[in-house]
Amino acid sequence: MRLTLVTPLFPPDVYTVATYHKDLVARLQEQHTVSVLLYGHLPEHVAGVSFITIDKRTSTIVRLTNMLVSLFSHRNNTDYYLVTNGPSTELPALLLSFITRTPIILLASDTINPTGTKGKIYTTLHNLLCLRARAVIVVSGNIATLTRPEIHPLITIPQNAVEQYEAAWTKHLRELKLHLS
Amino acid sequence: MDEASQGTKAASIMTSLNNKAVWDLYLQRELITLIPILSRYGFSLDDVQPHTIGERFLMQAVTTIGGQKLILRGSDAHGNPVIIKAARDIVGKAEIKHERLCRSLINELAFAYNIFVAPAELRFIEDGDIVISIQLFIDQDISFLERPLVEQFSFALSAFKAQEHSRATTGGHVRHISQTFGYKTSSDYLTLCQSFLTSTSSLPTSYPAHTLIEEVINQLTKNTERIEQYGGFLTHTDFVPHNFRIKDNRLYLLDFSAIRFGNKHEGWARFLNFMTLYHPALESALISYVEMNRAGEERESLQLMRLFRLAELIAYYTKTLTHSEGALLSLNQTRIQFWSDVLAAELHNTRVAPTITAVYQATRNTLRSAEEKQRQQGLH
Repeated sequence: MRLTLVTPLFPPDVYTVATYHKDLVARLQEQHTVSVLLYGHLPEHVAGVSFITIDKRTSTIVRLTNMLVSLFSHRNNTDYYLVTNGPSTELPALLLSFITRTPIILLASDTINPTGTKGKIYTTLHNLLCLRARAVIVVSGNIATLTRPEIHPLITIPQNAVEQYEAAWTKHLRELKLHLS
Repeated sequence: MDEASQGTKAASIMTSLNNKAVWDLYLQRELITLIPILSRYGFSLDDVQPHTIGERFLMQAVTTIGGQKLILRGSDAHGNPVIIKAARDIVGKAEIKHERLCRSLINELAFAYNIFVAPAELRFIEDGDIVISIQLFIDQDISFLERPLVEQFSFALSAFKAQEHSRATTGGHVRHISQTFGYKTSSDYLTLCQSFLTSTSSLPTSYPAHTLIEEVINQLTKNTERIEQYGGFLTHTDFVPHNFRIKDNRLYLLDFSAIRFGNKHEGWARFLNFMTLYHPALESALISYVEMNRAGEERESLQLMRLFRLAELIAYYTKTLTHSEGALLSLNQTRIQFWSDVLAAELHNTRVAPTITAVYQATRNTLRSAEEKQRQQGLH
C-alpha cells in the first residue's frame, strides 16, 4: 500500500511528536511504500522513505497553498493520507477532501488547546476534518509510551521501558492496520 | 636567531609589556572612578579580584569583538556577595547592554521561553559615561568539575536539551531573533573558518595548524547541507563551566551574550572540546549518548562543529602570540600545538591520546604564572 504521512513536525525538530512521526514512517516502510510530506527544510533521513518538503520560511498563505498543491499532486501516488494534526496540515487536508477521493486517516498526535479565538477556529477546523476523515486515531494520550526510551550511557539500559515501548508500537500499528483496507 | 627574528621578538615583548601595562593602567583608572559610584548605591568591592588577574589582560587583547569591561566581585550593604560588570568604553558598554537585552528577550520569545535561569540583576546603573550591571553572586557548594560524573552528565544534557527546544524555523521567527541574537548559516561558519585560516598563516611552517584548518574547511565545504540541517537552533556558544553555576539543583547561566541561533551543535562542540582537556570521561559519555540516541546525521553535524570550534581555538591562541612573552609565549605556543593534536585526532573522528593531554597539562602547569593559577582556582 502507498501511504503519505502529512506532518508539520519531523526531526531535526525535537518535539516528542516529531520523533513519533519518524518512528512511525520507519516502521510503516517495512510493509508499505511510504512518503512524507512535511513542513521543513532538511528532514532526517529514513531508509526507504521519500520526502517532499514545504519550506517554512515563506508566508503562511504561500506555505499553506504549497502544501495543498503538493497534496493534490501526490494523489496518484497515494492510497491513504495519514494526516497528523495541526492547523497547517488539517486546513489543506480538509480542502483536499473535497477535491479527491483518496481517504484520509487523521492521527491526533498533538493535543489541542481550544481556548482563545485561534483555538476555537482550529477546534472547528479539526472537527470538520474528523467528519471528512476515514478514521481518527487519537495518539496524544499515549505518545509517551510511543517515545523511545533514552539510553543513558552511565546507567543500565531500561529494559522494561524498552519492552513497553515495543509493545505500544505493536498495538498502535495493529490499530492503524484495521483502517488500511 | 637572525636579526629580523630578534626584531620581531623585541617588538613582541614590547607589545606584550604594553598590553599588560595598559591593562593595569586601565584597571587602576576604572577602579578610581567606579568605587565612589558603587559606594553611593550601597555596594563595595572585594579586596581580591580574581577576574582581573593572570591572563585576563590577554583575553582583552586578542578578542576582536570584545570591548573593555571589568567583571568584579563585591557585596551589597548587607554583605551579600554580588558580581559587578562595568564599562566606560563604547564597545564594552554596548556589550553589557546587549547581554542585558538578550537576558530579558530570551525568555520572552514565544518559541524559546524558560530556557535559562539567570542570577537576579540587583541594579543597572548609567552614571555619567559608565554603565554598571550588578547581579547576585550565585554561590555554589562545589564547582562543576568536582561533581560526580553522572551529575555532570545530567546537568549538561538537560542544558543542551533546553537549548534544542528553541528553533527559529519560520521566516517570522528568523526576522524576530536575528537582530538581537544573530543567526549563523553554513556559509557564515565557512567564512569564519576562512578567517581562522588567515590568522594561522603567520605561524611558522613547523606548526601543522594551518594545514589542519585547510582540511577543516574542506570538510565544512563538503558538508554544508549537514550543517544547515541542524541550523536555526538556539545555542550558547560559550557553554563551559565558568559561564554557569549550580545551586539547589538549578543551573544559572552567567553570560547571556554568547547566545546565538545557528547550528545546534555549536554549543555542544565548545563543551566537548573543553572536556577533552578537563574531563575526557564526560566528553566520552556525551558522545556515546548522541551515538546511542540520535540520528547518524546529528553525530556528523556535531563532529563538523567540533572541527570548526577547534580551528577557532587555534586561531585564538595564534593571535595571543604577538601579545605574549617569556613563559606565557611558550605556553601559548604549547597550546597551539596541543589543540592542533586534538584537531588532528578529531579530523579522523578519534580522541587525542591521553598521554598527549597529560604532557600538555604538565607543561601548562609549569608555565602558568602564580596569578593565573590563582585565577583558575574553582573556576570550572
